[in-house]
Amino acid sequence: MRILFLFIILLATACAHIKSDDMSPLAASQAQYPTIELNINKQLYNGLALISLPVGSRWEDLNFSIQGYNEGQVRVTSNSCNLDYSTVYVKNALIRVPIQGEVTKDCVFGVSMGFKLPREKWSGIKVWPIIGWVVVKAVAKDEEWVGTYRKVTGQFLSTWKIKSGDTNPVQVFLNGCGVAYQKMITPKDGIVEIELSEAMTMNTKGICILDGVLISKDFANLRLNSAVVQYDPNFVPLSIPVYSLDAKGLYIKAEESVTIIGVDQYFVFQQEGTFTFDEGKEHVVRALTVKGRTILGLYKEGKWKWLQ
Amino acid sequence: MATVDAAYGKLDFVAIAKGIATFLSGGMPGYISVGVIIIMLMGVFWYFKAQIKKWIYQSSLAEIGRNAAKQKEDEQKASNDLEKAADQTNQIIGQNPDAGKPHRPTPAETIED
Repeated sequence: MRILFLFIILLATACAHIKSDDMSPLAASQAQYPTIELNINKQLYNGLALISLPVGSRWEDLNFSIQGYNEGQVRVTSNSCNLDYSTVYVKNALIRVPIQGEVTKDCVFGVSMGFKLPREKWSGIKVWPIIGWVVVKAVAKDEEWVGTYRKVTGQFLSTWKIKSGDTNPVQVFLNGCGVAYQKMITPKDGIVEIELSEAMTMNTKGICILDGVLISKDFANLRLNSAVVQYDPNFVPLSIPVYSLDAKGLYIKAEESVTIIGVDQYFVFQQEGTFTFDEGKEHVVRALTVKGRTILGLYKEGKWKWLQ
Repeated sequence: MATVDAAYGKLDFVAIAKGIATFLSGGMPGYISVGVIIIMLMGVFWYFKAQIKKWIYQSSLAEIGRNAAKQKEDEQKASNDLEKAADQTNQIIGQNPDAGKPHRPTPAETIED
């Protein structure tokens, strides 16, 4: 009995330094919450992106990259656009996705990434893979288009406000998420408001993409798309870290569960750090836990924008 | 050396450990036996710790594979659903052609909250 007691104490002592993420009961990928850092045409997205490309343009011109953490592997698939790309990466590499050919149709790209922590830092805790989505709408010449992307959960309300310039009532059609949405909407000050929860089946998990059209009395048809991810309500997105700027640079302190923080291409495997910071330039701040909860901070011209 | 408590039918681990320690230390004094026991425990502990780490690492690798497969499956469904939805939209547009209507003077945009 005494030996068993001694063994338990030894085990408990050994486990005490293992840094887990207990803030969220679910890992991001378990909750269907996309958190891969996507860089598309120099714009950053946290796990979910929706863009349009003109039909006839070249995929090679799309600068689509994925930010790696430490070392690991990435897979990008697109059934509609015949892509199944896998690669391994090291040293926090930015991985460019090699897509080629002419843009002829819509494409959905599913991205998954597995990464591992440096051997000397890894204390034996499970590191969860992360996921991401990129939706590309192929827009015909002269076709007008507007889109949005959202992460929502539970019995959500999420209003899509479109500045269309319409003053007369417009007819909106949306399909793709289990509901045939058709509604006459009166714009307010040139803005059409669509309640997305009315256009989709709620309380499901994963991505669905709405496709539709806004038919106006005064203007050309406006093509609509919305990429909506419904995630598990038990998932807790990562909170914005505490940060301050002084002569030493940018000090960041994230939640205790954070394993990696980084500014631009400099990463540390701890929850806080001080980084060189030029206030006159643009910067990207990242924080990540072993459960794949991430947050991105974009600094531009003295202002911060946080992407959960 | 009593290894089994006959009265209760249970193994006496303390007696077993003492016996092994005495055997390994060649009948050395008690404090050396205790040292041997601690070294043995540490060895067992580090062995199990390494095994647990190995198991967790393999479990993480398996999770990466499962995750990638599920993401591909979800992506295929999303791609197919989008294609169907786009076809439906094209039908609606076909029934509501906008010929003759002007383009918006400024492109429509989403207003972020």
